[in-house]
Amino acid sequence: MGLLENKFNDNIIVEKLDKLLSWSRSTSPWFFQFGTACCAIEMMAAAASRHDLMRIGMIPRSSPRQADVMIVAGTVTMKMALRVKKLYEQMADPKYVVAMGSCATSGGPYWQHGYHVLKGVDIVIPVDVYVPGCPPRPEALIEGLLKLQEQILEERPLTRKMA
Amino acid sequence: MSADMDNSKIIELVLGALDGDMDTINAIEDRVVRSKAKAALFKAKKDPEGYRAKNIVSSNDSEPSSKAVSNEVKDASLINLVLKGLDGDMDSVNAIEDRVFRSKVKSALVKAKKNPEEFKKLNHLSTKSVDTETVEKTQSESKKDSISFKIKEMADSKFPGSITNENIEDFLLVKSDLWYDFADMLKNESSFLFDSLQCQTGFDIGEDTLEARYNLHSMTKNHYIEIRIQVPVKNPQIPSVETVWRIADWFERETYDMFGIEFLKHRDLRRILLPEDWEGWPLRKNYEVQETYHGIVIPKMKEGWE
Repeated sequence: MGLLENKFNDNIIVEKLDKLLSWSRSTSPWFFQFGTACCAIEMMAAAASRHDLMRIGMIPRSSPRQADVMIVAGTVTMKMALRVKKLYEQMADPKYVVAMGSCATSGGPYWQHGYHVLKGVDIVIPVDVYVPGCPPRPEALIEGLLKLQEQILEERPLTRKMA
Repeated sequence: MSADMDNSKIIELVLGALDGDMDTINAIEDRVVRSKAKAALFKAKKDPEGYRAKNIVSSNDSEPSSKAVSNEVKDASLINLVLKGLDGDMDSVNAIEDRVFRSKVKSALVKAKKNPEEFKKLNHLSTKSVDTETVEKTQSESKKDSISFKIKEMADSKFPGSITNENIEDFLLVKSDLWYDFADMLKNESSFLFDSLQCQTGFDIGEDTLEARYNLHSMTKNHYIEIRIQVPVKNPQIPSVETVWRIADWFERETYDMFGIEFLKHRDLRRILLPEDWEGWPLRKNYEVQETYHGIVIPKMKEGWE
């Protein structure tokens, strides 16, 4: 007989540690509370009581050190791009980025003109989920964040990656 | 005789009603006269212009001496009142005792408001013929009264040659090297007291010239003035007035940021919006965007948008 047989009470769940880790990460991705333009208003609305991001485990944190997700909410100018990059580098792994709104995904209304606007935040940092809209409604943002959670859930942090 | 009286009265009433005064007709006690007036009005409304022409002529014919004169006087004062009303002075219109005349003035005002410029042009001529002297007098007085003329007067004695434009009604074009003392005068002189710099901005007006504009307002005296200063693109230097109006600090930094106008003796002249290491002055006509910024490629123009 095996070593572990008949050793557990029935309130114990047996699961792979790998899966457990990704599950626990996916259910509490705390996000970094900073907005660069008007999308931030929608992000605030999403976090406030009506839409209540906290019910999907997302709590705004004011420091990049405590945050797992960076929601880039709004236009990123060239001046801001360097700072966004710096903030991203200050976040602890594992870290994820959501590009919220047209500006953060592609430059938005500044796509053709606007010498000072970064044409998409993915030029400086890697982006996991793009949420289109100008600005996207809180529902759209929540949809994007749920997609991100699905993505995190499928991760296997302990499994060795095949080359 | 009485029928004649009635007729002329009815004509007057209908003329008034055509100008929008129905109250006088409705207020007639005599039912017969009232209904006659209304019937005449109904006919007249089909061709108001013709009715007017016919009846003004006929009334002039019947009583050429007294009525024509009083009409002319009334016309002149009507035009004056309408001109006043166009300039926003409704009190003098509302203060007219005579109801018919008041409503006439008001309806004329409504018509004039549709095209005020035309009315003014037309009636300046006519009022001139009536009362040329007073009109010219008030115009020249208002010119002398305006703040820009007062400033020019003082500037000519204090800083001769500082104002370089001829037509100074809208703005003053000031020489850049005298600007600091000029601004000091505008703020501290007891008859000007421009205590608020409302806006300061820049322009690239082409022909290798940059322009800085200052919109000043005096809260104590309630008057405005616009100052413009032109400098060549090759050497864009303007004395800073940051110590005169404290708000000019950030205004001038913004103008420096966008146009590269150097404000001399500014205590903290840095870019205010763009990063410190940005190249070029974005709002100049010949601005070309730099290729990269800290390794980030700046696309010049994306194709296929339209």
